[in-house]
Amino acid sequence: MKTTEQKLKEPPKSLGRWLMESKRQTQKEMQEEARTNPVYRSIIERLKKANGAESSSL
Amino acid sequence: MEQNQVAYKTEFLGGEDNIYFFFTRFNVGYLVKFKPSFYVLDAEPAIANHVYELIIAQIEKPEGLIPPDERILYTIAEIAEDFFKKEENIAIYVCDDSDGKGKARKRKFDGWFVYLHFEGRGFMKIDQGFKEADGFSYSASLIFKSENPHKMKIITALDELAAKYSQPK
Repeated sequence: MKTTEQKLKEPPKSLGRWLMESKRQTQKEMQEEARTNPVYRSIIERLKKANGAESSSL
Repeated sequence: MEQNQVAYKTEFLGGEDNIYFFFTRFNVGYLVKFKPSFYVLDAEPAIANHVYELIIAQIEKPEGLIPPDERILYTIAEIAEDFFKKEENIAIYVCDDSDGKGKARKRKFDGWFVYLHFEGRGFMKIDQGFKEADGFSYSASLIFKSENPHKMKIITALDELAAKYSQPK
């Protein structure tokens, strides 16, 4: 399977569409990681807790 | 400093992820990623190897309307300051126009740059509009530190990219 980088070495016909598709794909991957990756989850939970503490002190 | 100008607490996860996390007081969660994008600019490694695409993703939000939150801007500005501690870094931001809202996104992005006094903080932004043969148009911006020793070459590389992908006038 070609990597993203290899794909772009064969110049896409439309750079804009390629970049936007790549961006949407990356956003989906980020959202998926945020749901499932335990490292991400622990950071998220920590930040939520810190955020709650901040809100209650305002 | 006013309370609404205070950045939220962020956490950075380095390595391949190269990603910042933050949550707002309205329980909206964001990830800000600098995705290595050395393959976008056809430039020498000293430039290309430091190109990152700026991607922002909303990961969680509560039901219902969320009030406007200026602190998000200040948080992203703080993240940018951190990212650009490596002065050779270059961020590319593409305004998605697939839903016809590209111009509005571009105006918003430009507004942030001015509002947060990025120029005064030592950043440069160069914009390039692209219009492809089938009429599809969009814009891309490169942001880098004004003391980047390769800045002229960066500008040239973006011009060359536009020449390659835009239709002849």
